[in-house]
Amino acid sequence: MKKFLLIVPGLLALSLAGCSEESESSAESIDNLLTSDWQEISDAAASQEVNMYMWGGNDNINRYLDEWVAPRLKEDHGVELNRVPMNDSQDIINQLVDEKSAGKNDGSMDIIWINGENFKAAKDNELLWGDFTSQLPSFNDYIDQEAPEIAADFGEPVDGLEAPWGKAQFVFVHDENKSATPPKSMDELAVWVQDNPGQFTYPALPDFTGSAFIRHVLYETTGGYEQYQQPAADIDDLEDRLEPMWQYLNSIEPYLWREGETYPESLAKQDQLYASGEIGMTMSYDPALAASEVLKGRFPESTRTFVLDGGTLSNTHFLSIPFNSSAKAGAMVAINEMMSPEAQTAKLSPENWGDLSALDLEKLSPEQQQAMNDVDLGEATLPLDELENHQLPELSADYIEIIEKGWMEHVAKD
Amino acid sequence: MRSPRRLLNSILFLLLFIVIGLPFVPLILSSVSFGWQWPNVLPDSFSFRAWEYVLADSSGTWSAVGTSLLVAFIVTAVNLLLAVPAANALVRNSFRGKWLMEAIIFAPIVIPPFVAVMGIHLTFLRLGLTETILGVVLAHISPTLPYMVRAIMISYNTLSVDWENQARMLGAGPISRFVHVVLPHLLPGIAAGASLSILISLSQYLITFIIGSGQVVTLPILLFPFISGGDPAIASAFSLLYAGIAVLTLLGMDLALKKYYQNKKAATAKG
Amino acid sequence: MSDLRIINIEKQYPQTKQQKDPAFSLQPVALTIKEGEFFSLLGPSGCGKTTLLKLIAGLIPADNGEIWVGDDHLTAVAPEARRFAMVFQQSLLFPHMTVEDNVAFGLKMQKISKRERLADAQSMLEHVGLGGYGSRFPDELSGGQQQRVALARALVAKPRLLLMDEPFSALDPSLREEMRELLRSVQKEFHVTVLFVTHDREEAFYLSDRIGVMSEGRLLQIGKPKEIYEQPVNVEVASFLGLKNIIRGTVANNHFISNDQSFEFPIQSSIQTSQSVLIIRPETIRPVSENMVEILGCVYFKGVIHHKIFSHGYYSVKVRIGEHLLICNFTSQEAEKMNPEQPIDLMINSEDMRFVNG
Repeated sequence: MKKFLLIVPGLLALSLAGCSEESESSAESIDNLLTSDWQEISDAAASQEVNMYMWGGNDNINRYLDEWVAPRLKEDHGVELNRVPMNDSQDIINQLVDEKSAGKNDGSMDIIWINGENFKAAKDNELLWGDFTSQLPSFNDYIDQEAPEIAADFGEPVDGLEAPWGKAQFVFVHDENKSATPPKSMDELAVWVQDNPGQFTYPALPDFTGSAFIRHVLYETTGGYEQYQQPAADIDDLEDRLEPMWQYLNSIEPYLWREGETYPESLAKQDQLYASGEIGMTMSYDPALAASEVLKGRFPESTRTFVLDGGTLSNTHFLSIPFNSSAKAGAMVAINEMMSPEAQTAKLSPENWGDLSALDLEKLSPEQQQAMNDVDLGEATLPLDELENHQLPELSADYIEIIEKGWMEHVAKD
Repeated sequence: MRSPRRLLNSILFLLLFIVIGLPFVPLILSSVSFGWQWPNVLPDSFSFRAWEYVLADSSGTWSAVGTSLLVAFIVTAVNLLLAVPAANALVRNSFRGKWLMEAIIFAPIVIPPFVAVMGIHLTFLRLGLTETILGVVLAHISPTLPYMVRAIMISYNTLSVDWENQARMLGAGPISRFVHVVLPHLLPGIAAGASLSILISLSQYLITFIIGSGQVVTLPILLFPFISGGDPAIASAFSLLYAGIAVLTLLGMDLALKKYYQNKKAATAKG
Repeated sequence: MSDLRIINIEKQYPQTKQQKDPAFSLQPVALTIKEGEFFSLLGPSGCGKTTLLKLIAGLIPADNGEIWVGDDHLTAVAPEARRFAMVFQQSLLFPHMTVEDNVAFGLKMQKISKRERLADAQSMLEHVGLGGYGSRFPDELSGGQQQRVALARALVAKPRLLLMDEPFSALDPSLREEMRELLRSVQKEFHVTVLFVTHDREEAFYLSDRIGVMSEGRLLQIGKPKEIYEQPVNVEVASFLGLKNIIRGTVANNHFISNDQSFEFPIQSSIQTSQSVLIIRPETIRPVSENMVEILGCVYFKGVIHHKIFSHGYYSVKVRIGEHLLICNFTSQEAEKMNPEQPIDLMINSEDMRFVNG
């Protein structure tokens, strides 16, 4: 009994001591980092511990960071990378909002993995540090800074607050043994669905991927994406324009899995249905995911991916540094390293992760280009150039909101 | 006479085994499956990919197990320190506002703990308690303490003050009375309360996540992303590991308790 | 001498709103118990005898008064430091300890070495007739054996005072007698001072050197068993002691007249008018045989036999005198020829008659 009494205050003292130690490291003149040269930043980064907060639900991604990135950072730059698993990137934003209002300036998040809505929320709440990307050699050397998918994140200007880490492109996933020739347009898909009743479905909105599927329907049934590059509020007859999309979705509904009475609640569920053979098609924002699932034995070996002739949505995911990071120099070095051609090439390999490179192939040396092209993406993945030639821009968040509400009203209701 | 009863016993045992053991079968199969196509009952082939990942050094599983157990044991120890005097006061005394005290102590059973945790997150941030083991321990106390107090109160209810008076009249001071009379009587209740406290602490995700802010990594912190991320093999492997740790911890406590009683008997048998 | 001196101990329990118990107060008690004496507090349940016991033990704080043993002032001393021992109604043996450890507990608290205290416990167990039981656990013993262990446990540390709170009341009657014998012999052997609380008259009379009779928070009379039996101070004591033949009347002009006027005789002038209740012990009444000479100092009555009952070696005969049924204890020889409805003459030595306050 008495021993416990001694332990409790002891622990208190220890953990408080731990806190004060951390705050010391943040005392260095951090704002200089945005102007100082790279050598100084590298020096400041040495022996820093960098916490990277990111979604932790994929063992391939976790392994790529823990076993490929972290040891190299440690060896080459003396930076200790500590991956912190999150269940939902939204939690990162919530936590930063709390820390900001509590005035916590020695936060432990040094790198966060975000894009789209989360980036917009972080930017609006001023949770991000500043324009750091222009300091990174990898960003300056290998990134096509003018490209729209790099300069804006779901329509929101990036302003150097986050650095591109990889690209996602929407692909359909199917089993070659079940359907030898996949549909190449939404019209063909409607035919395919009628010919294969019960074999197709899509995740119920607001699932991220399910919502993306509907955006493809929107683009193809209402005459292309170009008309939606302006704010939704500027289009007066938006509701009428969306009408063909709802008609399309309702026309295929009777031939969907379970006659469309219910939709899988998440992509994970739908993947599970595909993995277990209950349905014949799924979809992914990760073009190489199917290949890596085949490697894992979850998806059948005859799994292949395809894109629509009219193209599929593509977006970029980014790494950023929160306003209160205690190891900003270390974070910059780590991000720079993760954007290096070597790290990006390794990331591309389905054995590691299978995530598309964020770099501009043309800015790489011939050897680097060769290395990237030599990566075996697996039989299930489309060649890089085929993907690149079929990319469509994302819609901005205001449209997505309208579509998600509309889907509940027009499709899910009856 | 005898054999039908034995038969009945074995049938009951089998049923019990099925009820407890059956849910683990698909977990085990799923954790080692490699390609499991519907409508097959069993996976086509097996792979230890999930286990390799879970048990690899880089996945941080073992340090998470260590953190989980450390938190659970400190929480339980603190609970014990709080619950014994609290139970004593609630059972032995009647005082103004007693119902209010009880309501406050037992409220976390009814109120979802994250409601409270959302509120204390900001406070803990200001106090510098987030991201520390201490903060997580403090946050875990709210959902676990009621069970500990409840269990010890039940033990106290059956302990008449006469026992302590008797020890007193034999010359036992307050500490001796507690050690030799009260504690042995409370021990079963303490064991029950501690088991609950450990299990509940081990299973906390949201509280650990919010207060620990990713810096206190327990087993559920690693496990949850895989459940929602849809990797059934790894989620199953983690779940099995979690169940294993919980069962081992309880078994360990049970053994320690048995040993305690055995030592008592052995010590007296020698003399 | 280490006598126990209780000086005006008192305790008030205010009436609480929630509880329906009436207010209870223990009137100041002054009492000295000699070293080695066996003193009983006798009274009906709720009379405050257990409260007094716990006040002396220190388990309840007293409102006023002092407690001394010899030259030690104990009022402010914690119960565990008083070197008293107590046996409760329940044996209260610690269930997780063996019999031996239970008995040795008090010595353990005194930090006596394990070898020594176990040896003492062994020998004390032999004294209470439980020599081979040391390594058993309490739940393996019968109720009587448990109470023996409790007694051994209380005695082993040589307490200055042994407090006993109705220790045998939970046992069945035959066991109770056995335990009385044991307690008496052990008490004499160890010369231990005992304060014994009971509501059982027989038990108190059998065991005690002196008895204190209590009722409603007051100590009514203290005395040797014979004294309080023969000379109860008032009707309350008399009726609690179970005395028969209590006759109410008036005392005037050196005469006693019962309320129904069936008793009337002269009395000594020393008897006050307030002492208006007459108590006649059944064994002091004798039948008058025909040719007997009238003895000076005896009072004579005439009555009619109501009925007779044989009881443990004598006859209990009820004689109707006026409205009273006088109970008389006669020998078999005396009662042989008596039959109901026969007239009978009775005589009592006036010294055997006791007049008390009403």
